[in-house]
Amino acid sequence: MHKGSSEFFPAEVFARIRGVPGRKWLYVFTAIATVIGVQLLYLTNDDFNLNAGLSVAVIIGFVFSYYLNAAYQRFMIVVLDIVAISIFIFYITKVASNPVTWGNELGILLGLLISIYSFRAYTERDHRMILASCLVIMLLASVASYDVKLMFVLPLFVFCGFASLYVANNLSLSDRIPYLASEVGAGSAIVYLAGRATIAVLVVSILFYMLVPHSATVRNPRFRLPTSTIITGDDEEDIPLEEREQITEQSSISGFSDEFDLKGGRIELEDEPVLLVRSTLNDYLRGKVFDVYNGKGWSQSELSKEKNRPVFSEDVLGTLKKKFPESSIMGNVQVLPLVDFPSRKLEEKFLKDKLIFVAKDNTYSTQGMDDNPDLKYSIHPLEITFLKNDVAIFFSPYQPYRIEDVTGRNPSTSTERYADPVVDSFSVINAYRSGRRMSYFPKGIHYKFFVLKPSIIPIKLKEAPNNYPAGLLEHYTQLPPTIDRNNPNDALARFAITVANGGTEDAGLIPYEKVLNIYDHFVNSGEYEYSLEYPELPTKKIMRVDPESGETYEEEVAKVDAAYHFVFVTKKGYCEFFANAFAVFCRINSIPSRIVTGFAPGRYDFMKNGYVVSTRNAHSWVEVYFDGFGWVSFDPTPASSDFLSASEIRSFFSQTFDYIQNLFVIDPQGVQRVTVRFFATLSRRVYEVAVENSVTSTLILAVLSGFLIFSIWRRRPRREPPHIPKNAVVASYYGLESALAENGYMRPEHMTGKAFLRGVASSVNELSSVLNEIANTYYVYAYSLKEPDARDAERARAILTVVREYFAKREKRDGRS
Amino acid sequence: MFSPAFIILFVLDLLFLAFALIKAEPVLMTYSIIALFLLIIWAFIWRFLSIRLGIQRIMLSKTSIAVMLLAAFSATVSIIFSTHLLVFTAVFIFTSIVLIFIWSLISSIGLTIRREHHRIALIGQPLEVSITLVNNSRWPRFTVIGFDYFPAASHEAGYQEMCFVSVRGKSEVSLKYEALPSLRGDWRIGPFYFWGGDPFGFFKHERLVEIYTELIVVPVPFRIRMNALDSISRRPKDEAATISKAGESVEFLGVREYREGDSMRKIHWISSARTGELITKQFELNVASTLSFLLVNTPEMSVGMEPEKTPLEDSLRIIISLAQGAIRAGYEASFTELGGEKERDAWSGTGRQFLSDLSVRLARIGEGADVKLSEELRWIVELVPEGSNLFLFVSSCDEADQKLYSHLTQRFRRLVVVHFDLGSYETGESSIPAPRTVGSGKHLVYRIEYGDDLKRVTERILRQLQKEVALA
Repeated sequence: MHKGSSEFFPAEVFARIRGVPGRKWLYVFTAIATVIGVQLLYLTNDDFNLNAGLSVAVIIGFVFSYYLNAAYQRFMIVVLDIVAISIFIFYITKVASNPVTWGNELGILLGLLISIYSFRAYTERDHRMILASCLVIMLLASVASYDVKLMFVLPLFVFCGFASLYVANNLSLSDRIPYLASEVGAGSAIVYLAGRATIAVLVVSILFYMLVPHSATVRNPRFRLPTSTIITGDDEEDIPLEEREQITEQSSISGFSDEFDLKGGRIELEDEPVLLVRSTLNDYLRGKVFDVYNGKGWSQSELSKEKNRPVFSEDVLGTLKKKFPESSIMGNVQVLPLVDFPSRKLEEKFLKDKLIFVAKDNTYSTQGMDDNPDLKYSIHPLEITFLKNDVAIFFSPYQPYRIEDVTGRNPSTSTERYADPVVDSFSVINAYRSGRRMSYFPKGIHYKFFVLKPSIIPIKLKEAPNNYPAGLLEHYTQLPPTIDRNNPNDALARFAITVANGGTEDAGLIPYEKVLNIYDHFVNSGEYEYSLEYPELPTKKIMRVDPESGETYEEEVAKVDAAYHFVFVTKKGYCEFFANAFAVFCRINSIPSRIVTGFAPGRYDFMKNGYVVSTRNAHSWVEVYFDGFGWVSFDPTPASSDFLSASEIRSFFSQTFDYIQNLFVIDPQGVQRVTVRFFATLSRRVYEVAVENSVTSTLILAVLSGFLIFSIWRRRPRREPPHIPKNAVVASYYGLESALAENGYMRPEHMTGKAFLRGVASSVNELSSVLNEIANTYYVYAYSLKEPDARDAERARAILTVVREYFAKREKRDGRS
Repeated sequence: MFSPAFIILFVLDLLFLAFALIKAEPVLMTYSIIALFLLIIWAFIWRFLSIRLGIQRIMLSKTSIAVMLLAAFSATVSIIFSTHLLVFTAVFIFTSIVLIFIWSLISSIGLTIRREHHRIALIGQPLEVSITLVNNSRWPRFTVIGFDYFPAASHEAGYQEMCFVSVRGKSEVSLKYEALPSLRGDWRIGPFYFWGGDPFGFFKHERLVEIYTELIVVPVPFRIRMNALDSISRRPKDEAATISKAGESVEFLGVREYREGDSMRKIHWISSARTGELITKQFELNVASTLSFLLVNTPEMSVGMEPEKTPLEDSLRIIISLAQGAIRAGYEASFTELGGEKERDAWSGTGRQFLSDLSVRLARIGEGADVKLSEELRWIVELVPEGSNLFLFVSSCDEADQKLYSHLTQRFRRLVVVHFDLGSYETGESSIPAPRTVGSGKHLVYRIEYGDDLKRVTERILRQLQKEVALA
């Protein structure tokens, strides 16, 4: 399109400029991308109204910019720039006054600036700038969020972003360059380019991301803490006993009984929602902790049960009243003392001004690791709602320090009720009411709490010394009499020590290295397999004498140790068996460990806007104590790689979601392992199937090979056109072709000479016979090494003369008429 | 071989490495070695790109710089915070940039250009140039910017920018651009430059396509009336009117008896009627109706503030205009150049084809060499037809020259010496106060200054000749 000289170019040139998309598409794509970008703010701010408002403002802004008369644009730019600068200054001042929530304020500021900028998006540069700002929001959301929602909106954002950039680039070029040509329509080009770019970028970046080593440490993300609300009811009415028992029976989730039994059997992965977790931290939720191993299961020691205590000690209460003189806040906030805070100096430095208190009998580190500079903490708020009646435990990540707003609705009385949270010596919050421990929570109960999460860089654990606080080592390395770590004939003990020392009896390794070796043995060695079925543990009955009464009684004990059975006999099982073996191996190596049951991270639910934890997330794992760091979680259960079984195919979609969530939020390394194992399993299965059905597989292989060879053959370079010799007949044909061309019969490029002559012969009746004749003659002498004899050559020349004469006559006749 | 930016980065990196070695800084040392390694890899990649793909240079847009800074920032933040999503975001941004960069590099592979236009163009007349982008690859290409080097245009608009928004795989797309040749000469149009890049406007690279086509830009004749020249024959008007037709530079000689084969158009019907037998007209070559142009192409002829406005260019324009007028009126034209590429060169003829050839010839005239006219007289006598009307174009004309030219008047029917006020061509202002025209119709000397309307000047010269004829 040449501006100003439209007469110069014919109309068909203009018709080919359809490749440049219209300006409206720029606004449409940028608006969609921006609205998505603004939605990402929700991941950091948790403020639906803000996001909805900004989205509406953005849409209105783009519509306004599109329709605004160019004469007013300069004025609008000035006005909106002043507004933007004012807002910028306001928010910077706000951040300066309260730097704790800078991330949050920055997100809001960015959202506001983008919505303002959408009112002055007149040029392509403005649109690019808005998209870049959205990218910054994405970055911010990634810093402060653990929400995998980002990954689901990303493809659309990327598509619209690329589409917008393409349109902007085209518009810039068409404004600047006078000469444009296009072969593809604008719509097809946008879809093709943006789609291709999106797929390429996402696929490659995900693959690349899986290859990049990165650990799961989180350091101090800052965002706004949820504000407290006031509870309105304090109904002490309890549910009738029968109903309570019924509910308790219904909520018999594996691992939440008082005993951690390793009897075996088959477990079913039902998908019944239990909890709704709203937080930026989607972590393992601890339910019960077991510290005593008896060879066929785990239980809680009496010692730990005795350590349950009320939350408010006098000094804590005093400090709280001092900090919060208003009773309304006090009414909802209950402080939980930390029971595993390892450092006194950090406590003085870090916790003092944050309303976090440490229990009097807290387990501090031994001397030397007390002032651990590498130990960092982050604070995370969580909101949990019970979606079904379940055990009365305030599930939380390790370790909670404040709980708020314990509210709920009794299904029978429809009244508000709440429970007293009491933290035990394992940092698990149990529910009490009037001094009695509650047995269940009804559906709908809701609470908010805060956790202090240590951000431990795994490699720093190397600095943990091989000594432990007094009594801790003894208590958490307890083993049943059937296992003797000092007995050279105890196969399990010897094996555990060999595994921990990397294949030798004693390599002088530090605890962390031993734990890593044990972890690798269960997770990465490939010797153990995840299975939902475990054979029943063989037991025997023995007679015991009660030391108090002197009476004898029969007791069922395991014939072999559960860990022994798992390690040496079955080598496959579910989480409890892996956790048990891991903990036992640690204990054999004199490393304090304990079993935790609870829930693995749930799945994000867009409708509920939170993570839904279901019964299939019920899980058990192990905590190992490192001096100076406290209890560190290890999940020794390898992910299931049995993707091809019927039960797994049933839950394909949920697994896919879990896969994505694990990949981007929870455990990328685990996913890498799973992926490798998946392909290994797949190839093994394919090989097995191929071997079993050798005839069929050979047939399939032959067909595939044939197809491949055919494809390659088809793609071979095209042969050169055959050499056409120069002889009298061919020369006559060329003469004939040019004579025909002069008279309007052009030979199309794709048509052979023979076909062309025959085509002309069919349309010109007078020349039909001679043209057909020369077509055959030409075919013979053009595509063979045969030299034409004198007769054929003469005949060809004669035909050429006949044709020329015919056209000359026709021309004369036409001219006369 | 290497760009200044690369050399600066390389030297800086070496300095950092030296500093790190002296101070025994392991972190700085590691980064310096990595950077050095990357720079060397880049040198190899660049060598591949430039030699194998013909890429001349790589250009970054502002957007790409902004996104690269963002990528660096996100990489830093992801190292500090190290959450999975953040790592992914950093990887995503980084991967996007790398992929788009690779995309931009391969975007011009398999593209070739075909250029079509008329071989001859007139100065100041728009020329339509058709450019066809041929995509030999299987994949479509988008947003390919092209620059066609059009040296015949003025210096400011030497490159014609165009954009091929899209072209399918194994296909081609054409566009036509309008160029305005403003410089006379025999030009080679080309090369063609691709600014291939990603379709999103991040990166661009320049690739040279060695495609050249020939274009001859000829001076544009202005239309002049040649009535004055019609009268240069001394025959009475009625006889002159018997000249058979324009284009045959002949003069009526007499009549003779009809012979078989004589053209019917040459029969003298009046005499035939008078005698009762067919009488045919006889003609002879009319030397007096030949217009000769002698261009003394010295270096001074090429002086001037603008390359398209020099004494040489003005001379050529007058020559082609007079030649066109003369040939249209049925006369012969003769052109002789002294001091040009071939030192001495002469052409003469008539007819449309000759005019066309003469245009091409004039278009190819380059800068001249030193010529002493007094030493070239022999050649003038030999090359310029005797008895013709000679238009002599020289850079300057002093009294000594005038004396020399007066000798020429003996040999030629009429002599018009056109010379130039060279000072005015260099400064834009008239530098010679003397009158423009000197001499009579037989020997006319005319001075042209910068900025003169050449058409009016030529007509004035022709009027002077006409006056002289009238007096005669």
